[in-house]
Amino acid sequence: MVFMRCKIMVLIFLISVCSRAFAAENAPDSFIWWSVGTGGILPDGRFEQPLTLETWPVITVEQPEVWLRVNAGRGAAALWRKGEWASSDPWTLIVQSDDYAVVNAFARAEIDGQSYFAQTRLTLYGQSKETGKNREGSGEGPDWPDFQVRSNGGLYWPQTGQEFSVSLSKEVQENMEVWSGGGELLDEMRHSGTVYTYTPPHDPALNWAGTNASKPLIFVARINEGGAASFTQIVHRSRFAGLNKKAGLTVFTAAFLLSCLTAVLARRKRSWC
Amino acid sequence: MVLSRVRLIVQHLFFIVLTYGGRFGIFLGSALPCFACPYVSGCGGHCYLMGLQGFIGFGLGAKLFGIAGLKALGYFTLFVLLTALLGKAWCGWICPFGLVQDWLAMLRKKLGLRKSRISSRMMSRLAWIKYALLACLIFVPVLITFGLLHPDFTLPFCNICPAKAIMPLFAGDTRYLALDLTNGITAVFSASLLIITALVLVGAFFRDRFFCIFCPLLALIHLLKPLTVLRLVKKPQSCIGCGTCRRVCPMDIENVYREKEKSDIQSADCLDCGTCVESCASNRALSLKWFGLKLIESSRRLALGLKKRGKP
Repeated sequence: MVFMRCKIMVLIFLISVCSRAFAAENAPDSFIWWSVGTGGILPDGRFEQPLTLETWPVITVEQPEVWLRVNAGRGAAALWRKGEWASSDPWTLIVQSDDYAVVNAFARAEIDGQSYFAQTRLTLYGQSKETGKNREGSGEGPDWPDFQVRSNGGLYWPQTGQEFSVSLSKEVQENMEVWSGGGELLDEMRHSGTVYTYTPPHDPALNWAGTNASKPLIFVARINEGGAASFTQIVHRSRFAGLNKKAGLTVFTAAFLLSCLTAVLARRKRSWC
Repeated sequence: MVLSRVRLIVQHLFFIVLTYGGRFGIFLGSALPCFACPYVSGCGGHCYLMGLQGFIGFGLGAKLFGIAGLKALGYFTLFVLLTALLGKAWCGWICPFGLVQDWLAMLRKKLGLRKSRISSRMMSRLAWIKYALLACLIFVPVLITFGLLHPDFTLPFCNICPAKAIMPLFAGDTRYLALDLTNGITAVFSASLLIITALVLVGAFFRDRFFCIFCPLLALIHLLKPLTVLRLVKKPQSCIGCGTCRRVCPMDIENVYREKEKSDIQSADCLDCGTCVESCASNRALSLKWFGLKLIESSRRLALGLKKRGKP
């Protein structure tokens, strides 16, 4: 009886291991990505931003590596430093900055012998007087895929309806994909040469969620060396798409004429001069 | 040179600095007690009301005892200091939106049209509006902080302030004349903004400083009256009761004329513009004092000089 139970347990274990490996191997969609949490200023003025490393499909990864590339202050040179996980279930990283800094967070995880990479870019508005931490690190970092994501039109506030240009430091197998945070393949990017472009469509749910609400878009590239690299881009609702100047001018003119009429009627019994 | 002319020059200088100063590296801070609109790109300073609403709105509880709380306290202290130093002169001499209203009043005078007057009874009936707006711009962000209101109510006063629609036009920005159809809340706010802007423009043409009747910043400055060192002072025994002060006042204030006992005649709507002082023909009846020093005093000579120039 005991032997039978052991056999069943071994069987279950083998099925679970094989199915995971099978899922990873046979799901060309596999990738890891950063989920960006809600950041904020701490009482001492430091800015804190939590990041969680997620996988698609949902599988467990062993001891992923994490690196941060910090640009502290405008025009300052980029410094690399190794990140430390705050928790392992899920893999959570807390990025802190004393002062203003642009931080690229990189992660690498092994899935079925292949390397998978995740990247995101954070702007941290720290207000602390102590600015030492952001100046620590070296000029050398790992040779991992590095996404360059630019907003065409120079908008500093990433928003829907705005075109993003994406390029990667490694060779990409085919078209880059765009995934939602919920694991839905949204689109494939268009490209000319090595530069890929994507314009996120407007999202009615985001339009109702407030100016600061955001959602993640995950740009995924299958790299020639094997595995995949992803970049998490946060987008807010568009600040311009809802603006209707014609309707605004109509409302303004109507209100203006009505006010003029009211003022004239109110003064009709008094002398004008 | 008469006071009103000096005032006009000062107003224009501050209009240029506060509207375009940022383009030349001039920035007078984010705690100004006047409508230096932060929505003007390249402006030279920010109205304190935006900072006040913003601080309360973006997480009051978490920030209060941190560095952000200290920063907000610093801004408030600066606002109090600036208000204490110049009092209502911020409204009468510096406010760029006040100057825009003055331009409309000048246009009316050029066209030879008479000003619409608001009776003191009506003024006292309208007086509560600015305090109600002040209360709203403090309590609405608190409600947002505690999740009781939608985040699109953030900066509630800025969303309906006519300066937001008008001042950016001087920087070539017509964006705020559009209806924001992003969602129902933004649509209602932007439509209200446009309607209020139209009302204020028409109102300011027919009645001097129309918007100042409802201005919550004027109310906030008035609440700090005990600290201000700029004062409008009356010597009741020198007043001959001619009523010129009442006639020339852009805000239709009557208590300067009516007060027969007290010397402190600074009312909630007074802009410290000094028009009553320079128009008063009674020697030493009215004066503007700063730290107890007389800046200007009413005199027959000054008033006659004005009359020669065609003023009342």
